[in-house]
Amino acid sequence: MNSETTLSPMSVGRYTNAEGLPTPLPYSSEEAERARRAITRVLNTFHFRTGSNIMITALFHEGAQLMPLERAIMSYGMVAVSADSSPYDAKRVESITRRFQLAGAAGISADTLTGLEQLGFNPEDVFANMVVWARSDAYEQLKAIPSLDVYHLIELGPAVAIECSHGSGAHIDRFEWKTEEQDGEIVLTNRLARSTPFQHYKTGVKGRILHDACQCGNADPRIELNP
Amino acid sequence: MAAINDDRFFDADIETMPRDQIEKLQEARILQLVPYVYQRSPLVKSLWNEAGITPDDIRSLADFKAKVPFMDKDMIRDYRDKHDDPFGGLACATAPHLRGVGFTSGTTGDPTPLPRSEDHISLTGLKREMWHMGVRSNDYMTYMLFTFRDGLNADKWLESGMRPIAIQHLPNEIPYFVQVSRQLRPKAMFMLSTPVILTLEQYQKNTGEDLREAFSSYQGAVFGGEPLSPHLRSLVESWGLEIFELSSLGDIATTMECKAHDGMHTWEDLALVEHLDPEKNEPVADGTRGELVVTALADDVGPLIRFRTDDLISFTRQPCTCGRTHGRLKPLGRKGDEMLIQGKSILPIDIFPLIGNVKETSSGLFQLIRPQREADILNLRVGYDQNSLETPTDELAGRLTDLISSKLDIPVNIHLTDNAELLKNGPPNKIPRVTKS
Repeated sequence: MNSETTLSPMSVGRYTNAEGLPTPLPYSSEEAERARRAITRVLNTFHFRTGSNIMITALFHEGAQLMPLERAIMSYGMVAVSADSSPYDAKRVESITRRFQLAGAAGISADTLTGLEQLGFNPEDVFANMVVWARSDAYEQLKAIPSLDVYHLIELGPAVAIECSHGSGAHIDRFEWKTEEQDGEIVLTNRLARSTPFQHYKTGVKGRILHDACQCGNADPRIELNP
Repeated sequence: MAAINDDRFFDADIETMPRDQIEKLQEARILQLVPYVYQRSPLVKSLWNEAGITPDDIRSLADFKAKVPFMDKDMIRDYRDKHDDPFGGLACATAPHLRGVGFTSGTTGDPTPLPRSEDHISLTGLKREMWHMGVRSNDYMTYMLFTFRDGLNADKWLESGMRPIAIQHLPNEIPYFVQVSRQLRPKAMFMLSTPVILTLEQYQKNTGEDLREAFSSYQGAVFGGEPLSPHLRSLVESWGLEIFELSSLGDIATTMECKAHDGMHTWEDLALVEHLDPEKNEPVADGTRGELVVTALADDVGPLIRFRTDDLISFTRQPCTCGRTHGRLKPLGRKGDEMLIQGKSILPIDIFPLIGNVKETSSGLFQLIRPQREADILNLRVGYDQNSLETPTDELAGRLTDLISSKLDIPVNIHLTDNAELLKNGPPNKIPRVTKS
């Protein structure tokens, strides 16, 4: 098998194509499992206690990108607590942070922050005392709150990059993707067989790729967003 | 028992199991569950201790039904608040066996957490239903999960070979939904709700899209969330879709119609279904109105035990003409919505088809005015469409009074209101069906 071969899909998720349009993304169980292993390499750097609860906020069509994160949380021996990352589900997000003792919250979006604001909740209180992986549209707002422990979760079309405990860039799976920089934009090519191949896929994300050894010990390259 | 090899069924041994074998399986699962849940669920232990029951008292399915105390949503919430336990005393396991937590919709308070293991019990029955609808290995189905947040569970369909196309259940996803329906030719549409249907109608008007053509690959569409009004039914059918109604089986699993459209199948290997007199707690006869009480039979993480759902149903254990043998229910409404008019039980579902078949009131907007449960006369607020009015409102009120009182055999007092006025009582296109005044 090589990267030219296509795998039979397990499900169809979605990504945003180069023209900014929502596009079906068939993906296989093998891809999901490989991504789970890559994300586990990042989770390991936080040394969470097994049995901890991690909230994961996502949209239902983000299976290809975020189901591996959910499965990584579970296979680590932690509990994944689910909510939507839409503004309509902010009430549930607040309820989860209040009812469950969370070690982390992943996938926090600007929509969630908008919903919380409309309900009168302060993110500083809601996300206190936990690791927060924020999407790019929510990162700056949360990072500006000194008391919060905020890390990047970067959406890259069919892939995601997640920041480790060292906080110096978001790691992307080096086995799955050939990650390049073209005119300051991150470009992806799949190295392994997938249901939907990507050749020089322009992610629309402006940043640079760091290949030097990360202090967290994970050898996957990191993406650092342009300011 | 010989194995059944019939492609009509996804899980033929279970779906066509004779009644005596269903009960034997239920008893086996109950007798394993009883000591397990007593030792591990703090809520169960507390309720059973209060009732003076121990696992040793339960030697059979009959013992279980006769002796085990009920639980309800208020008890779970009380336990949650008193003990600061998000699972309300129901959790029987911790990580790693406890893998994830989903939630109910949370329309009546804080969302109820639904702890789960590696298995997603709610999908076990759905796979049978999708197969029955005609979905087979490698076929696509649109997967717009409604109200329940169950995590990213598309991989849980893997053993069926069905390929879910995951779409967020939001009206603004409609253009994409139509796009993938054309592109991937899915076999089943899971699932429609009132807001999605109304948005599709608007989308068709605005774009001129031929939805009948766009949806021509579907062998069925699932609808759930509330009763389907005659207007919405005819709209969906105009797109060439056969509708399969779905409801929740007391937060344990789903229950859904088959092609016979004669009740929703309750998978009795997953849930012990009891159909009880809401006041006396005794079983009521097949086909009569009773409360749904459920016990989870395949959940070792947070099983509900004799959970009073507050849902009124009619129920039968007669085998279905589709070949499946498990019980079937027809949802009738919430117990808290029921009115007794001169002793006769009346629910919103009794009013829906009557109002919906009158041209001026076909939007199906109405409210039972219920200051208390019992009354001598049914006071009904009904919305009408000003543009459809061909006679004075007095005459319309008279026609509605005659229609409803003759069909339901109760006295009725109609209060007509313009649709636009009535809609001010709730979000667009949805209003509370029962009101105190």
